[in-house]
Amino acid sequence: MLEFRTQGYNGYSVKYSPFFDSRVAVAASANFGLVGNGRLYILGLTANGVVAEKWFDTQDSLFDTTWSESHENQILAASGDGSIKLFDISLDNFPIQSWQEHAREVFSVHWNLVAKDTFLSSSWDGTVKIWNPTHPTSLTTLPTHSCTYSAQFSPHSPSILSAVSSDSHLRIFDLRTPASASNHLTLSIPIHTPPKARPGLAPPVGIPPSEALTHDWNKYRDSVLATAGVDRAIRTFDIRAPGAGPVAVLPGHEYAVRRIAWSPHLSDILLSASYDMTCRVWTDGSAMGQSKDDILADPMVFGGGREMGRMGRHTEFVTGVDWCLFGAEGWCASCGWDERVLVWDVKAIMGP
Amino acid sequence: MADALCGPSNALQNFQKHTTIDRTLQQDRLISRQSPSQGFRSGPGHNVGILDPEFEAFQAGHLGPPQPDFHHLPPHPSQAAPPPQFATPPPQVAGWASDFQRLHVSSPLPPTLQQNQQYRPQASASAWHQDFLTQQAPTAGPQTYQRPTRNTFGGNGYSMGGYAAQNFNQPQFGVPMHSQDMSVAQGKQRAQENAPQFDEAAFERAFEQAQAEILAEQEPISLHQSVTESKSISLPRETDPILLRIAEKRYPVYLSIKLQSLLRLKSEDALIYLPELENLEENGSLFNDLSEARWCLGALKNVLDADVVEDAKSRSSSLIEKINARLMSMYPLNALNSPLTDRNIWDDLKDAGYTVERPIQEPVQEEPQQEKKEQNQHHNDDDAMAETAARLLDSVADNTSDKFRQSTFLELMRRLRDREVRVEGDKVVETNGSAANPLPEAAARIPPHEQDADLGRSGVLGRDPGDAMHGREPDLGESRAFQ
Repeated sequence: MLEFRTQGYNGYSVKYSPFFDSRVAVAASANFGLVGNGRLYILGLTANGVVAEKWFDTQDSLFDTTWSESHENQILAASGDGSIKLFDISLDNFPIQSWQEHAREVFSVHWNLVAKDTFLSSSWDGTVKIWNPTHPTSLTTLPTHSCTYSAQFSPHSPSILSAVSSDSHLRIFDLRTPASASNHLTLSIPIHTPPKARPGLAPPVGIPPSEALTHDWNKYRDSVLATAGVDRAIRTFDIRAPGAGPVAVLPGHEYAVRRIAWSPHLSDILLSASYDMTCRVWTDGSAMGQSKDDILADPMVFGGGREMGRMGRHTEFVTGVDWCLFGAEGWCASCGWDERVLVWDVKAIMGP
Repeated sequence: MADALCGPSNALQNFQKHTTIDRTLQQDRLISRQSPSQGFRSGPGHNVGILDPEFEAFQAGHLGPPQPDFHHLPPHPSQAAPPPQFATPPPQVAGWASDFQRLHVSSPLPPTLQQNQQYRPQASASAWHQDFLTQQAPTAGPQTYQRPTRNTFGGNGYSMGGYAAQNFNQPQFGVPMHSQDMSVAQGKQRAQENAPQFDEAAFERAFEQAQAEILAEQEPISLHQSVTESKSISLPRETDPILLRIAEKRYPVYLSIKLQSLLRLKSEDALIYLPELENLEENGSLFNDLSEARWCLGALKNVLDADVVEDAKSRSSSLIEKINARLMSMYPLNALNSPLTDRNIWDDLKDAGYTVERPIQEPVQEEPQQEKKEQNQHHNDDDAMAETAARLLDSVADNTSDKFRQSTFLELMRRLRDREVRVEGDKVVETNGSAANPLPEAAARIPPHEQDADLGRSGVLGRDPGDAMHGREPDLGESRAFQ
């Protein structure tokens, strides 16, 4: 396990470069993001451990970052002052582009993995905006009407994107639909829908809505997403059956789940980071045969998934986690408010 | 999706629909409804556009001719050695400071706030001037002169007003001076257009003459007597300098304090303050400040409990009803239910030197009102912050794991809740004043001009810590998860 200390800055998000297996970016904020500066670290994984290759200071806190998919040196940062900044790591100090349209803190940025000339941002002002890095203003604004903590393009389609927000809904937008009154919104799935009733068990009772903080598209099954948030459970949904409720429910974290990421190598494995100061590895049960007894053992669990291991080295809230795309599968990085970035192998913590 | 599937299948039409419509700018209206308190802490204030023209005019030199009178004042005996209660001319200073404050572009404080708080001092200032003028210069329409005097020389203190009024009453002192003064008062642009002939020598002469006259008279008039007199002739003259200061700043509070303290002493004199409060209620000045009105309510309720004549009781209970009714109609319900913001009053009382145990009386250095307001703002932010921190700590209270007990973040929350630290600007500082940061922070302050040239930075100077709190609150709110 490798470790790097972001002295004086509390990590909010960590992302592996899609171009280099040894490069990691961390968006961090002073004072836990309450007030103060932000810093974007570019870390190199070397034989001598993790070293800071470069960092960029910003006036306001940074909450998220994403690498450009089209240029290996460019990276975006989402700032607490509502701006989105594009940095070039071959240059010093200042962003090469900055967009200021959001009226509140920008909480997530994500580059389109298919049409690599667009990216999106989501903000507490209740909008998701689509951008082109060469265009000074946003291309499209999609309202969600509530604090949108996380938004992502689908990794399978250039024009489908999703967002989760504080109103406990997962929204799917399709930019190919005409811009009508629905503003490209094609699906809105209530995350708090109880799962289907199962034979032999009492029908599930209603679940109160709670803020959704994070979500991720499955990298292999193009209609499956996972969401998680304040109610501590991770849920997976299949957008082909939006009314059917969650496909799997994975309870276990003691406090809110801050970030989840599907494995780029295995279709059923996902990694989560939580305010309970742990990272956990899960399977959603889709790739393995589960005996019926196992499922019935815990009425909260649904879909046959289970926790496969946990990493408890962080000593504060864990806020960011990302998988390495290269090399032996299972390497990942996590960051947290303990000012530490950990690079570790998931296989080492997985149970038998 | 439905509308993509239905309708006439004209591919081009759909394509055109798709490409031509961009609602980006339109949709900004969807988010423009947010309350101003939810803005960025570093964003430009919402009054930024309003103030710019004024600031431009100021920059471009549309300024009245230098006001010559300021340095003409030789040390006046009464000014050189002011009596203790003199050391604080709050209303004038406030008015003067606010003139400059209004010139600030992107001022962090919304102007409405300013006006609300300013109303009282100005009112009392004008009352005082009027009073002074009627005493000093009962002839020759004091109104005409009094207004410009207050507006232009408001910051200069009482003496300027007095002198100016005197000057204008001198027959040989003529029209040019008058028009000059008026034009200054009427606005900077006007002053430049008219460009009145300014005879410095004449002014000098007139000034000296007036001054000599006043020095000859040299009957130091107790200003504060006139203040209280102007308020109410029927009340006994206030002698306590502390109460005098309170009376000047927060007249209703002063009345309530007197009422209460006299009641406690079982003095019959207490009831003479009752009609005065009724007067205030009738002319509405009691309701300029919500907390003041509630303060009075408290005092009036004491009357009900006290051992006084029945008539007084009925009068005060009807007054209570009236005040309550007015408050209900004037302020939204949640404002009434919100915790009492007596702190402003207490701050003012403390500034005036009034405390419950009455410490040694020393001349209090009056700070500019604006600064004080900022402090109040801090207080409120600290309250919100402490509250949020307490909520968060409550939600993790049942967690006894080592990690949670040793958490730096939770420790910071604990200190925020206990007011050991607070957020000031973009730093977390110890409450005892030393700017020690509890975190090993490498705070690199990037000068705005070295930052990228995005517009959002322009508001950095006016960074408002209040917004900072609101801005980040949803983040802490996530910890509602812990419940």
